[in-house]
Amino acid sequence: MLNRNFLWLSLCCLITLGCSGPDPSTTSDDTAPPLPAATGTHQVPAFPELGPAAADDRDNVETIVPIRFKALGPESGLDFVRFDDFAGQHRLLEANGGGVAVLDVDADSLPDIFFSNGCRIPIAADDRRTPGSLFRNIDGTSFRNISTASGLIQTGLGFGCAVADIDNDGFQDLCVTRYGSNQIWLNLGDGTFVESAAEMGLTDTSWGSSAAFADLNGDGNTDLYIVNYVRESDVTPRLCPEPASPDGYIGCSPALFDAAADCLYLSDGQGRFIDASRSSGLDQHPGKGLGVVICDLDGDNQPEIYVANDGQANTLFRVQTSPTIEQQVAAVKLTEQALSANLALNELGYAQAGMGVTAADFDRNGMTDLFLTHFFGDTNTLYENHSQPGNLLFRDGTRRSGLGPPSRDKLGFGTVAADFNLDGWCDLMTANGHVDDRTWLQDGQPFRMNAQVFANRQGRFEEVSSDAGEWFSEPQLGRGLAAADFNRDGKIDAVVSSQLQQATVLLNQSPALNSAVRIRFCGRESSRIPAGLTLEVLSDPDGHQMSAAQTLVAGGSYQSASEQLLTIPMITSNEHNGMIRLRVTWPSGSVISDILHNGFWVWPEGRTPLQVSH
Amino acid sequence: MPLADTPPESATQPRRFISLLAICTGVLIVVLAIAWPDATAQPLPEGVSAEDYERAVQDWRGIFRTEPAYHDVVMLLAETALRRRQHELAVSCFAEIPSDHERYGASARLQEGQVLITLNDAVAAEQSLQEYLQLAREQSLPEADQAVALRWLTWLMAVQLRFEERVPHLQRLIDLNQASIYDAKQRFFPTLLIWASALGRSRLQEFIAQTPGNLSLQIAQARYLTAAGELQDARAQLQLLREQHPQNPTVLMASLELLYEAGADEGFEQICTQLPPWEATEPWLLTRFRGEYHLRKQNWETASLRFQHVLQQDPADPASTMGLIRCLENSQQTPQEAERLKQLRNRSLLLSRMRVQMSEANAESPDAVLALAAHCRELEMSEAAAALMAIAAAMNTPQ
Repeated sequence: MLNRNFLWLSLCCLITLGCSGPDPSTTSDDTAPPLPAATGTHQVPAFPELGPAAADDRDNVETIVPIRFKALGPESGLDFVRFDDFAGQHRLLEANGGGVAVLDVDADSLPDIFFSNGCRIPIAADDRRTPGSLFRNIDGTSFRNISTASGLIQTGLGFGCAVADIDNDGFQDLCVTRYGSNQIWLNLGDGTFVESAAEMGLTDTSWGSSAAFADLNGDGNTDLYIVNYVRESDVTPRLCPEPASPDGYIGCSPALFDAAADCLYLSDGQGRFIDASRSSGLDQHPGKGLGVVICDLDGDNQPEIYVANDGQANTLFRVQTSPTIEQQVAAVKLTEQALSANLALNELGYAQAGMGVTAADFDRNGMTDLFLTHFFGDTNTLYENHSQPGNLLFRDGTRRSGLGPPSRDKLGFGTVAADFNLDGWCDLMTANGHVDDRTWLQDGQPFRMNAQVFANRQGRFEEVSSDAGEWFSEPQLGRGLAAADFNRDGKIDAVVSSQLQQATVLLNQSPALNSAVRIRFCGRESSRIPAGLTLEVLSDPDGHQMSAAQTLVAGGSYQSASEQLLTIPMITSNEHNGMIRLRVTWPSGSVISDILHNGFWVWPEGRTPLQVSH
Repeated sequence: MPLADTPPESATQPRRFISLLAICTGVLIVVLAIAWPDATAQPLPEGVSAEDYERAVQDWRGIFRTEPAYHDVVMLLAETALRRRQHELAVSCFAEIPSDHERYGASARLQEGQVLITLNDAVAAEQSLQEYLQLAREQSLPEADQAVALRWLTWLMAVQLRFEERVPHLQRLIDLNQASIYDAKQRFFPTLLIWASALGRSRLQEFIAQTPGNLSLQIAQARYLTAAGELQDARAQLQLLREQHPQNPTVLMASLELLYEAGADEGFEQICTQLPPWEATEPWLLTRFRGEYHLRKQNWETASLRFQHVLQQDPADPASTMGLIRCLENSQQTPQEAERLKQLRNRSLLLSRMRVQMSEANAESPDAVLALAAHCRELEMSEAAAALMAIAAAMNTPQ
């Protein structure tokens, strides 16, 4: 019977194949005729290479500059381990914190560091056992905990950080998002801080994740965008029992939680924020947000807000302002455009587990691209910017950039984009670590994961973590990550906050082939830190025309705040002290200026740039 | 009475004796044939001794008070071995039962298939299950048993990433009203589910250890490697497969998947130009990659046709939906096309939500299943919506 069936099936197949005519839609498709069937002498072409075919040519064009870091731990005085009250129930509140901020507390131009901290859950108002920690940068390689002396005692369940000079007094202030009310720590300029969130009008009590300061309505005042995550209770948290787990629980999927809408606070210029979440339309777009960047993405000199959502489509808000006399501040309307800009989903149509996000011009086409970190098993995503003024348009360039496969076995959080080896191409670093210890499942998902460094080789990335220093071989529960030049050697360093492990400063020890110009911009008509500002190098010291552009980005990474200055690597053919020509587009307009091709500069808006150090 | 009519007594007596002897011999042969038939006529299954066989005969007699036939005994031996977890022995006994055996054929194939899975022989297991399902089409076999076979078969195909092939089997489960929510999700949302699971990969490794030369298993192995980011290992595997099967559409598909994942644009295009002409029956992913190729070549219309074909087979495929969106973004847009683009973008958003909701829609959550059904109605996937509604209703009905 079997044989009979087989013959019948074979006959059917033959009839079907024989009778089916060519589909009209096959025309012009699949241009080549079919290859001949395999025979003993048939030569199958070698399987194509997985890397770019022009790799060898590229190697000849530019020397590959290694990227190396040296880790500074507690011996440097940076002695901080975040507390997250891991109590065996795998509560969502334990999983996501927290961030790190780089801010210059004492205006000595050396960047200092703040780590947000968690606490026991449920939260007790008088629990001061695990405060956030502020470290003063003594000399670039040693730090001192000045939390108590400064009065900056962040209690409660802290997560994200954002830095700005909110009150334009020349000293950088700090916002810390928390589960519950958020905090604004005003820098009094005498080495102390005072918490002023309630007085300044911050009323939201959701679960805050990342935050970013930027002037969104163009009035010269610094506004605040706070990304909220999901609705959850610290007293009766949602638990997911799992009998097979050693603890009897597994971390609940964020899909089980309701999204919390983000918050938009507009500054009134008088020391208070006005909650514009509803009037701007933001409350119509609740999302499970974790990361945020604010910068000009389409070259129209207006900032856009891009939010990385967890397991939901990302959101991209175009900001429209309508100045009014009646209202206290220029009204802001937010229009959501992520879907039409191809920034909501990746190219496979997936809403990914957006954690961290960073923005930079990775392919040097003059437009700011976006890079997001995601969950284990999925790839991180690079969105290449092809926008025109007023027309936001991105393409998923993850695979073309080489950033997809190396991220499949990582769960990424913090990420920073910086030209670590000063070769003119913006590199990437990611802090990785799982949200839940599921090693008992034995399915290949590690709890701790190595951080990664990706060197940008003319738009194509290569993971160089194994050569980047010993620290990168040590698995972490990486969360926050921020970039700064801590020792003022012109190379960009990083600081990482991890769960259950010491925080670490990573000093950049890459061999420098090039010098760098570092510029801190100081808004006068614009807000003090003019997020969205664009810097173009019009000609290098040799007089060559250039087109590289950089944007000052607000927010970025994951719950963290990087030092807000721009670094321009100077690739010169000789050592003459030539000038470089720069065009800066402030929110108030463009100016062109010539400066020396190295050193640290401060550029006040409307004035000539000043060289602070060599 | 004429003498001629009756033989003389002296002449008939020896003849009578011979006849009697012949009858007795015949009876003896018949009796022997009945009492001791197959043990001598049929070879014993591998691993079964004559003593085992005899014990089984005695057991049969004790249980059923009848004389067993050869296949009665072999089936009894097989099921006893199964109970004792002597899986190899069970398989060798089941193998002795022909599929067309009226009483045991179907049952042997069904049980054999399941035992072979336990022994990691995916290839033989699939053959047994397919034979069982063929019998089920010819006979009226219990639907619950058919569901068991269908579920194992579709699981085998899922582990091997043969998504297209399992569609009719999953549909059969639905038609039999035997589909679980898991089956329905596999049927209607194959590309919204995470397929590259560690468990699937580990089971595939076990299958390959048993039948290392099987092409389907080898292709699946390469695809798991690609999905895990182990691209060089995947390349080595696919290089070998391409040498052996240069025109196999599934090998070509897996090769394109690897090159796509690696961002190796030139290699991707190189293989695309060597593809055989498109056929409607080829793997969906291969057709999707043809669409991707034409997209890169700015052949918007052909790309669109390819993506649309995939969406006819799998209306919930988010990647093809995105491909179609890219086609429309780049083509000259009529007002109708602009409207279509808007619809597709909304569809992609809804699909992304459904993908996240997949794990919530499980056997304990009829409401989540209903929510999924509602999304299907929005997507005009009426068949899926109806199936999900039926499953949710069954979940709400006390057993």
